[in-house]
Amino acid sequence: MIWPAASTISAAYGCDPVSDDLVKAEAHAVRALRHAVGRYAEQIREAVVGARREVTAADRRAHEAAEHRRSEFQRREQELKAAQAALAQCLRASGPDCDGLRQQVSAAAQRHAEARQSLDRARKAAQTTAAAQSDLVKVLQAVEATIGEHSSIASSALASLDAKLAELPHPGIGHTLQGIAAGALVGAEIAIAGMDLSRIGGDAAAPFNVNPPVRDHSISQAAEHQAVQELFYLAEKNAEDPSPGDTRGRAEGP
Amino acid sequence: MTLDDPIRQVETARAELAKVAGSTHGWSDRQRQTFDGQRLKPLDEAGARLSAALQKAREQCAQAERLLSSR
Repeated sequence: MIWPAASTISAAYGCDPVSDDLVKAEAHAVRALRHAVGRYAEQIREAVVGARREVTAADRRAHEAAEHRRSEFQRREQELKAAQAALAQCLRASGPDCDGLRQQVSAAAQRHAEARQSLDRARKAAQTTAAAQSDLVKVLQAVEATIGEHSSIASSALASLDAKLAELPHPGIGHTLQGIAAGALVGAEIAIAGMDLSRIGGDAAAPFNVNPPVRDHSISQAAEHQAVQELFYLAEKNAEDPSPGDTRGRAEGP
Repeated sequence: MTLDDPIRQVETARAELAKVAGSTHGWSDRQRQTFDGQRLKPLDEAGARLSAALQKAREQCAQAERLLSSR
């Protein structure tokens, strides 16, 4: 296999050999991002809790209104029946004047119709809020799961990256390799975020001892992993080399 | 109006995360793209999905309130 030059690998990762200042800047950025991810997850959780409470309250109000209007409708219905019964009794008795009772029946029928419309609107409102609640709850559950999973992954990745950046530089590694290591470490940590990183040790070669990604399966990530593995090989070979810093010659290979 | 506060919270959260993610100086474009694509993007997409769902629910609740207020 032809090993690419260190600068080629570095460029492939988009990372030039880095200075201590850059490592510090990366560490600072990583911590800021980690804090931001945690805060984001917390803000979303609060919004979800608030949304659940507000939609539940809106649905309860609509259902209480529907129940109240159902009672009102039943009361108007009984009122109408009573007025109709009184008018019928008047008519059966052939009373001289049933006009007053007729007007009462008419007014009761009007209130009964209004109560029915009001009840229909409340029922429709209750159905709407119930649908809103049902739809939203599904999304809230999915979002909570997604945020929980990915904020945890991102936070873990950033915590590991932060720790690994803090470990740099390693004694016995040339400056150029340190640069590659820092850059590769960023890429590697990102590529394998969410994995068990406990295998990463403290000697010069160990930081590159990672497993294949198990969570991510994209072609770009597979290619990325391949490039990282090549870097591991390069680093291991360099660690065996008694003349530190001679990375380019070895990297260029046959 | 119902759900105004949660909608505002989500939008604020998304804006803050985007601001921090966009200010990661010292990271190469490729690193940032990788991280954004694999780790932060799902978070932001979930926020966007939540925001859209909340706005739809707010409209539904507003419609219900209009039905209840008209007599």
